[in-house]
Amino acid sequence: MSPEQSDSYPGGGPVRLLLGNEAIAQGLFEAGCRLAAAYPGTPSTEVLEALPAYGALDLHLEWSVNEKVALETASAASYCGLRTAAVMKQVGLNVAMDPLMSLAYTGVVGGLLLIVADDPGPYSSQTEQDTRFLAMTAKVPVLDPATPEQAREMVHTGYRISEKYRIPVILRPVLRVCHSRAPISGLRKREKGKDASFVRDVNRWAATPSFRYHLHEELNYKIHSVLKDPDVVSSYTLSDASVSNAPFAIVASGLPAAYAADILSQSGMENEIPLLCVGVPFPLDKGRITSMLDGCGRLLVLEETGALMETLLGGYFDIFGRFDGTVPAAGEMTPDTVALALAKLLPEKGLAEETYTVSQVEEEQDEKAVTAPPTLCPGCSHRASFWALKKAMPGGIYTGDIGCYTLGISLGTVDTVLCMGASISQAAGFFWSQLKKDETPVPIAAVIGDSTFYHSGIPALLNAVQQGAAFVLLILDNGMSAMTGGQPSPASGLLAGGGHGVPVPMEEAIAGCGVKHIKVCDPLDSDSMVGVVEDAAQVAGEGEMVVIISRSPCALIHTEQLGPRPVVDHEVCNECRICTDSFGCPALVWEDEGLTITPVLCTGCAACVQSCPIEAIMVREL
Amino acid sequence: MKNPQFSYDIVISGRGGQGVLFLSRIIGEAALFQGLMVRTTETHGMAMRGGSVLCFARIGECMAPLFRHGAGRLLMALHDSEVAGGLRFLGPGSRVLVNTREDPKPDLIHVDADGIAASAGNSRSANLALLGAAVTLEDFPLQEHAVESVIKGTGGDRITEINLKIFRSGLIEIGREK
Repeated sequence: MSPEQSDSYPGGGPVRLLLGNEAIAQGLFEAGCRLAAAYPGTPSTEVLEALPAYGALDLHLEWSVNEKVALETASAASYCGLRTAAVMKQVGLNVAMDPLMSLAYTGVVGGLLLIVADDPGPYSSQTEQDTRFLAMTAKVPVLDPATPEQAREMVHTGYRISEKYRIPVILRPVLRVCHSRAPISGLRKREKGKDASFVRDVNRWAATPSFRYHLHEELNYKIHSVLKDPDVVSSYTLSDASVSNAPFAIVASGLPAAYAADILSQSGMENEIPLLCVGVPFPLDKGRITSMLDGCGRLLVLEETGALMETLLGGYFDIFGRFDGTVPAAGEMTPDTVALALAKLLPEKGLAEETYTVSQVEEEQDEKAVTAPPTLCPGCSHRASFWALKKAMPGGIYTGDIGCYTLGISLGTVDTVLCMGASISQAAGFFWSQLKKDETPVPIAAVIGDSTFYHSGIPALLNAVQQGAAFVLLILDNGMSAMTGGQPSPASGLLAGGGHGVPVPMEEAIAGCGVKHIKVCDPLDSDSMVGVVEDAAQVAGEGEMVVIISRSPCALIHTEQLGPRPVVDHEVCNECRICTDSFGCPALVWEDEGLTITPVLCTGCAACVQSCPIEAIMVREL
Repeated sequence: MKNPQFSYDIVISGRGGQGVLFLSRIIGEAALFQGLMVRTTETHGMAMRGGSVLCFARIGECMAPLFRHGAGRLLMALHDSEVAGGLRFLGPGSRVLVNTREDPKPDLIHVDADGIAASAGNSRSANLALLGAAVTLEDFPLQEHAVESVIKGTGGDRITEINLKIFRSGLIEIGREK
């Protein structure tokens, strides 16, 4: 929709049940965001995915190649006066810290909202890091929504603050805000922003170190001024309980504030324990908190995931929180964590007892309890690639990376997983370590997905080649970021807002890194795949870098049947269980009659045929 | 004991691919249709990879999407191995609906949801048979007509007809056992 058409959205409209991420997208549309750039990552992905549905023709959407590029792209459009957003998960911000630190100094013109989704738990990440600390390191404000409704409002608040103080602002929802649904009131009219214009100012946009010092002073002034902003002041809300008679007060930010509010009201204590909710935990107004809680010297601080407010409030109050063990120092905060913390401080209330009421049938069911771990999907070609790797390079060191293929751990072909792109640099590190077994060099293979390769594998590969490292790099190319739901890779040329850009073929990118030996193969053609990996191991052993592109579409997205389902010859099968224990396709299960292939799960990829050493699994030609 | 003015809290357990998210979505939309406050949670990323999935739905006044162990009123288990994972959230007087073909056990309400869904012609909608059974529980806040109206908005005519049939079969199967 163009801004001229936006009158057709007068505001109001139906209430919709939206995910927190979708509510954020609605806020971005309403606020007139003109550029949103993201790299997919749980729990942030749905923000960008929800935006095309609004049909804003003046909104550029992109899946950037990585988070650093996303933020840099957004920064320039913001220099031009446009409202922009960069969206990523918390570990993505590590990649984007370089531009963020500097952007805090240069400042912005149009509002720049950096939306960073944290993953306490963690459920789908390497770390539980708290983005609010990175906001403090960069000296930029961070907004911490407790609910999807608040997240949508904070998009508007964030843009107001960002434009008023010319500073990037971080919106930090946690997973349970991103991935919970709540009724969101109807769409508001899209704000019409300014036309783009860039005012040259080299002392700011291209500042040299001496000007950087002045920009730092300016940043300090900005972050101090933000404390007095009406939006920030009104983000401090205190419940009705009397402060002077309370045994302690709760100071909470984000989702833990919602847990505390629910528990206090459900246990009838809302008039006994004051609850001070803080919407902007950095910069934190310690003076405001001490005056609002005047007469109360003890605090229970509830926040995710680290102890930011607890650190900043230390010395002003006696604090119960993560440092004294009242709240665990790791893991997701839950209503039970909060209830247990309250129970420690208020033993007479019986809060802990209520926490662990068990059902009568629990004991019986416990015996059946088997929490199913995540696995590679039935028909996933990664399984076939790992199988070929194990067969062709037994006893090797396999460096892994971030994506679905981390699940290759169960096949014994993932020895390390550090961070995006590290499979390649770590393989080089293992190469330079000159590991030997029985006087023979240990073969090394790095395994990385296509999207991760583009994200940060390319500089690692260029470096390894230039230094003279030699190993086998297996790129599992299913044409998309599969774990996050199938965002297109640069090789497809597909764009986030629809339409086609310019495809960047993987072979050319690899050749550009200086690799001389590049093979492309189909992992479902197992005999040839094993041969290709064996040859590659040979070449790598002779001191040359080899890249194998193992190319096959994602089975979760391309759901058509690939061929006839294999059958099991129970006369031949000796129940060695290699197929289920080592290969492990979920379609293979043991029933009373022996090994069976579950029809609804089997995609007909026939990769399991090779897993059977005695050919009991076969495809019958029709 | 819980104050009745607060939310009716539901646990939904199952395996990735069983439609746990779809069920929580239908529950949420039906609550919205009835004008009730509702919050639901979803699991993304690994949820599509066949692992155990727990989702929550809270119908009524609440601020957070999660609730305490012992506060849940209903567990809907789409897989009989996933009952235990949800039980710890339940409190006294709660009910457990489980999709299974096994003989009924005390305290659990067994629904052959897979069987109902398969015979109606859409194996993927077993979750709706379980929802049909839930609607027969006296304290369950969602009404039959609200759920039906949401189901009618979810797919093409043919699938909608089958899904309504599966939902109503769940209602009937439990009604008969009573």
